[in-house]
Amino acid sequence: MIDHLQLIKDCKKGKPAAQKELYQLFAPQMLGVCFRYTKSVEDAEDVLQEGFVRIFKFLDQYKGEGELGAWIRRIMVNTALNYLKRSRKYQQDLVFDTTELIVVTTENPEIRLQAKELAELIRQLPTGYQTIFNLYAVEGYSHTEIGQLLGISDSTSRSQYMRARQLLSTWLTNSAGNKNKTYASK
Amino acid sequence: MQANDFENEIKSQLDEFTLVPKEEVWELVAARIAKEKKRRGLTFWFFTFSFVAIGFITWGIVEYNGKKEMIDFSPALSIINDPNPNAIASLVHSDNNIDQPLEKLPEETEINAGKKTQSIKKEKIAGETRNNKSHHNNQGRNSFLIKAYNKQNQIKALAIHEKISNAAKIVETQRKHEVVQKSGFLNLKQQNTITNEPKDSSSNVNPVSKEALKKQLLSNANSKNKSAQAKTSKNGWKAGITAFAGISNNQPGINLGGKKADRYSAQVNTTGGLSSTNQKVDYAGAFSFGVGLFITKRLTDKINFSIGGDYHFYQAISKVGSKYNGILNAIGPTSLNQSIVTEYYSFGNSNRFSNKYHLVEMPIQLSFGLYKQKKIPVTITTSLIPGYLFGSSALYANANSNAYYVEKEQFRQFQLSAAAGLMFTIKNKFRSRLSFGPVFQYNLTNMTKGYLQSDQHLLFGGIKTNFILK
Repeated sequence: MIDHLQLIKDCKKGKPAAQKELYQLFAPQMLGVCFRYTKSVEDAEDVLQEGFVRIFKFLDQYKGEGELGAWIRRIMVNTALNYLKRSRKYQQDLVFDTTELIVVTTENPEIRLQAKELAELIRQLPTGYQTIFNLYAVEGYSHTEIGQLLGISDSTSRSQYMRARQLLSTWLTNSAGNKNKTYASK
Repeated sequence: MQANDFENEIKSQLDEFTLVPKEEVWELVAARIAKEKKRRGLTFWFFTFSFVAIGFITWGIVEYNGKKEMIDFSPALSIINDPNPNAIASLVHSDNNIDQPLEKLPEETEINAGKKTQSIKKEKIAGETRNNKSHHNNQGRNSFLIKAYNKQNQIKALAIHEKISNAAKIVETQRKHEVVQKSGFLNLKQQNTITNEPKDSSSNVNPVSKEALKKQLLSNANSKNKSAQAKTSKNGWKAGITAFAGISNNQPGINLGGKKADRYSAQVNTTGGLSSTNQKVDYAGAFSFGVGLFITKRLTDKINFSIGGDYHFYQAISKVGSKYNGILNAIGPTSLNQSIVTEYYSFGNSNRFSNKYHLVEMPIQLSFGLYKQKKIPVTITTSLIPGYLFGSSALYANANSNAYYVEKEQFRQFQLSAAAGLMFTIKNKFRSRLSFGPVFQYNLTNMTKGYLQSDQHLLFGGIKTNFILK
């Protein structure tokens, strides 16, 4: 933490070496985050680039309260959400169905996949589901917060999440016997 | 596995998930940081250079206009002060044109030497009288010549004067010689004294005449320069400083019959499913001030034009709820931007927040004299004021996040205002002018960007003081 503070201090002064060090420290983890929100590595790297530009731009606003990694992660998630909304490729896929979902099962399949396989599986979800699933299950946002972030109601967020979860459960159950199976969301 | 175990398992697995980005990503990030830094640097230097340039131009204009009308008498004065009389003599002989006025001096040639029966004493007195008369004539001519002085002929005029003096001296001396020879009463000593007179080069220049000329020249120089300064002060550029203070506020636009936008912070619907909700913000007036420099020029008897640069600080008070420190996930006003918020306020009325706006303005003003003849002249002023918003701590009301936070992206940088006012002018003995009076300024352009559907216009009312330098 102390090292981070010194690093941030140097970054705020605009020292390129410190900026690169901060980037190298967090870039792999953040690319993992970006990867889950997008459909390709290229897109994930675009988000990573945009996110780090914003991090360095707004670094003055980080007062050292809270963990630096969490602060950076939030910026990266916000950047990813904006990227999805801005990109034509994702816009049409980012439609949230507002009809309520009647949950018929709360089945929890066993997860036997590695992290990358799991991330790949999440990326197979439709963009709307994928986004809400990531925000709720991985980032830990509440449905109210997700509603505020995406401009949808709490119930829509909850409903979308349950659909995503159900779909993912099915795929995970199927994948238990065949890890190499490719899941198509279309 | 319990219901939350699924999420926990997913989270624990994906938290450790990392990917190594390509090297080019950092290069692109570094390039964009450098570009941003350069842009900020350019903005800083642009404004610094602009202020310095305006300052130099102002100074230059004022100096040039002041000097343009001045007559430089220093060469003539330096010749007068030169102890070597040859300095003048060389000028006299070097210019043939200078001889012409000498030939046209009948007074000097009319010296009458025909009173042969008078004593030497009487002759001496008569000679002195004539000499004085000749001097008097010379001074009259000098005043005429000095009136005609300008940069080109002032030295010539001075030389003419000196030649006139010398000519008078020579004629007078010749006349004395004639008298002495005819009277036969002059002893050797007296003769030598008289004979030697013209040979004494220092006596060629009459000291009384020289001092008189110097005084007259200086007097003329001063009066010329004073009149030039007066002319400059009337019609040339003059520099001044301005300061103003009063109350500013953030007002919705004036409804001129068209569709009037509410002063709301609004979310725009997008394909991403953002809802459209509004949150009204009410502002109250607060202290505002500004300082600046300007240059002014008289266009006609009644109209003055001025242009300058001001720093203007605006303030408006709004009511907010509780303050929070922490990270807020605030999606910006459109899907095109986002806000990284570490400090924000909830909606409510429990606290007051001061929204500050910092602008650099360039007022272009016309002043119309109303009661010019009165002891305290009154002018009415109208201005168009382009401005640049270079800083603000104003809050943005994000209805989706139910929060107020500082959002610089909400504003347009370039603004246009209009101002009107009355100015009462007091002249003082130092010829500088102090004007003061009420002024009213309104921001014609909407402060906020179009897609926000928010109508915000800064308003200022207060007292303005202008001090026009001598």
